[in-house]
Amino acid sequence: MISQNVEFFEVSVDNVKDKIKNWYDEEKYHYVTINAIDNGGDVTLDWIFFDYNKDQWYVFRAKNVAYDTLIPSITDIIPSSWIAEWELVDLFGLNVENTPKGLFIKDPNIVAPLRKELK
Amino acid sequence: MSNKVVVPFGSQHICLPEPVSFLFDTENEVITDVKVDVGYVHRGIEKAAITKFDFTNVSYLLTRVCGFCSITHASGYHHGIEKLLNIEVPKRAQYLRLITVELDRIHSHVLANAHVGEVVGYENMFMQSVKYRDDVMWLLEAITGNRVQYDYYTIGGVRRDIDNNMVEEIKKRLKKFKEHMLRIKEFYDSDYTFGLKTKGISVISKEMAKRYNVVGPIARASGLDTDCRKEFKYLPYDEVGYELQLYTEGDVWARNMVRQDEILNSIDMILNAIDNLPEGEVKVKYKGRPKGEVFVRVEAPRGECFYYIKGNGTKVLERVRIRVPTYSNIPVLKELFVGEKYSDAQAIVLSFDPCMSCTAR
Amino acid sequence: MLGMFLESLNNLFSKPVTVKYPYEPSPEPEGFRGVIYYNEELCIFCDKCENVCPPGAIIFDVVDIESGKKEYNYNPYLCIYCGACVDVCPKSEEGCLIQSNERIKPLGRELPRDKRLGYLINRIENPKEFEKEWSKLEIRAKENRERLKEYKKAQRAKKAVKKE
Repeated sequence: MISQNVEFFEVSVDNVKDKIKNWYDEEKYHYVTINAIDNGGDVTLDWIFFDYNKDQWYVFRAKNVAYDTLIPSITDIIPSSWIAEWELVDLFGLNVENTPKGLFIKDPNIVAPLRKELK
Repeated sequence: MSNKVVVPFGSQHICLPEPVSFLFDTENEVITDVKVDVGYVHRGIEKAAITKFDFTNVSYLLTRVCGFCSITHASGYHHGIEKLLNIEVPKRAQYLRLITVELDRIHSHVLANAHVGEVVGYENMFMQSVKYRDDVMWLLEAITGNRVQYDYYTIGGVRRDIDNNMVEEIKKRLKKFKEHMLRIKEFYDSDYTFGLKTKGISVISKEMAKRYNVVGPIARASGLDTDCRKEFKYLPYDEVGYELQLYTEGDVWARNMVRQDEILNSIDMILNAIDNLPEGEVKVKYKGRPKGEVFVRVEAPRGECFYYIKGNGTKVLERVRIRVPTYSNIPVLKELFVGEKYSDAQAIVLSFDPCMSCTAR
Repeated sequence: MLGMFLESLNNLFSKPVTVKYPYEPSPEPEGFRGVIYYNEELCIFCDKCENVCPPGAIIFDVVDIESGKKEYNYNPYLCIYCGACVDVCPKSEEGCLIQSNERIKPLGRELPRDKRLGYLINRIENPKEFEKEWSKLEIRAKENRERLKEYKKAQRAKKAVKKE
């Protein structure tokens, strides 16, 4: 069986960018992706990292984020995160700064298909 | 006077295996700016996995996300669900899983290398490689029943067993295949015109690889030693002799050589595993429903594939998130084009081995 | 470069590697995943194969509400040949539901006629109407199941009233 060594950090949308900036080190940590889970009325956001030298996951978790909060973009710390943020805007209908729409879904009538209210 | 022309390397192109579109702003045949568009093959798989399928038969959907790396998606899902249900898989099933995963890696790498050769102008290499690759496809069909979408994994083990005739056949065919691969590696290494077109083009340095979080054979060709088989122990790789292949040049030639060395290492691992197959059963029964969340990473032929599964005690899962290796490598691809000539664009794209149906699932 | 040139010359004078299908036969290996065959006498009508099929290629239609008799229908053009139904069937070792290693021809001028493939495919004459008939069967089977459920509820309510 696989092991699960996960360390969770509780953050809120306002201070997540400062926390990641103080913690992230290019030599030691590996950025994986940004994930969102729909809970019915709001969203839980995860920023997920892994360690290059040992078997340890690090997850920055923000709970109960409303649908229209302005989420900061971490592209100036980690340059390859623009594609994950583009997917959040397209499939969940969230509001991330400096991000356009229209990566996966080209029809303007379909809005946020991954939310639970849309069957 | 300089000529500014906008050239589309469009979604339908004769050398692209899957649709992706680039728009180049060129000036005197040197590229200055790029616009990328992925997402032509979006089918809504993550939404279908949480509304229409149970946790027992969603693996038939997830296997069909991609054609090349179909067994990686199956293995990522099953390793996660077995952790949530607390199942211990028997040793013989783990060795059989390892053999199928390594055979899949071999056939994908042979095709990727042959594709680079064809696009650069060396079409003869493509024909020879595909002729030898057919042996591996015959072996996969004899073990699992199908050449491409093998539904071999199940919760608690594998679906079929192999007998002694099959073991002898695998050894005989793989030994012949190894001689052919050694000869082809010499052709890639020493050919003069192939080297002119591939050495020194689109170099990724080690600092750039760390800053952009590159994964897969592309990272290993630039000197960054990261591999899921060494860091995250999900199958018994240290018992069969796994080694990490590293090159430091970082150009198109080095990525080809990393893949070729991985093929030779995989053949040795399979022959070791077949000689020491433990006895036992291949499947165990289980009870219950998944509850909780789990994070998994497995090694696809193209890099590191990440799975996140969340269950809430019912038959239908709550969230399945897939992040494939090509998804992580697209931002680097966008930076590499600036400053190169337009006629090298197809070699750069194909040396990254893009799998677009995984990216825009 | 010289080595590749010699190998190409060698290939010019040797036999081709490809099989000239369909002029020569191309046999399927043992263990190939082919068409599913059904035996009605051994079936216990537990509905496990219908629940597990991923694309929904097996449908049991209730034709008689009072006695509860069901008919088996199979669509070989929707099936993905995964074999999940054979794994889950409790009577598969005795031969109720087996996976052979044959292939059927694509949908063309005529439909296959075999009793082991279910009822619907043996009743249709024109192959162009097969898909329309299958969609009508899906709607009909769902309505029949709803009627069977209500009938059973009414029976249970009657029995409860009788006991009092």
